[in-house]
Amino acid sequence: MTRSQQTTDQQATPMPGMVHLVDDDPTVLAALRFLFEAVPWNVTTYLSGDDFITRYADDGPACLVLDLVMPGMDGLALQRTLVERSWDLPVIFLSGQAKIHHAVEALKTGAADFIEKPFGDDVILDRVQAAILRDGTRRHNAATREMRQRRLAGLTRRERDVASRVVAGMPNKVIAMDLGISPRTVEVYRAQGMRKTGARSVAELVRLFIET
Amino acid sequence: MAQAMKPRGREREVPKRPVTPRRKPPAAVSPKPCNPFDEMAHQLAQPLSAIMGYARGSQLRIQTNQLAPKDLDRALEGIAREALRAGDLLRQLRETMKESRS
Repeated sequence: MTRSQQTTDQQATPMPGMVHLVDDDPTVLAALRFLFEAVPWNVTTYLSGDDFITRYADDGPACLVLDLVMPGMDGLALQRTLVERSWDLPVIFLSGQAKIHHAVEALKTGAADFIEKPFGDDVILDRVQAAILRDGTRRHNAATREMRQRRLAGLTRRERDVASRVVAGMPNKVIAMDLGISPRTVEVYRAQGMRKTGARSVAELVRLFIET
Repeated sequence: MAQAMKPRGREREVPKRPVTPRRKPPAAVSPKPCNPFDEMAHQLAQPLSAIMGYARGSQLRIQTNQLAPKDLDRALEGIAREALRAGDLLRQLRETMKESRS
């Protein structure tokens, strides 16, 4: 598939995303903003790492495109700050003088990618798109996990005891013997557990327990 | 059997070595330019990247019928400006090379 076909496909289903651009060179910032806004992505530019730290606002799936060499806080220092602050944002480094040890250092600290300037026209768009998609998936998974945890947290201890045994495949009578309660009471706890978690089947309940 | 048994395990004698200080852990890699040519390469990559951004950005807008005249004007102005900047850097590079040869 050619790049132009890919681009047409992308624009047929525009993917929302935010690109945070950090570079001390305002002309590069302006040109990359021009490029990314054509996709179209929302773009915010920053002239330094400190500027980013001060103004960054989490606003949905995003990617940070970061120049490696900058006066003051350089790209690697900014990346370390993100890690310290647990700002989970995919980072793509740009460098005009790619050295393998810089790339290794960046990737070890969790960078999503490392692109050498001047970059090919497709490379940066493809990498940024992939990073935004990954961030979107991560956010979706985190939100799903949190929702499941909330649903399980709503169970009483007894409901949880019964539900966990249902998930383990135990029949009601065995659960009743195990917990020293009547099978009828097990049925009540089981029904309450299903209602509170929103699980419509035992399979859904199993997924809720396993994936949380 | 008067053959002395060789010491085993911990009893084995280890030749003493002079104690050397432990190596310092490597400092964080600094991404500062290493020499004038690295610096020059970094500087030259900037206008080239900017030119690519303006050119590809224009192309994407053309493909989706979204290239407004003001966008085209902005892109062409940027490309011309960045090409001049790259030219200046090349002249500086030639000067530096001349000086290093003489």
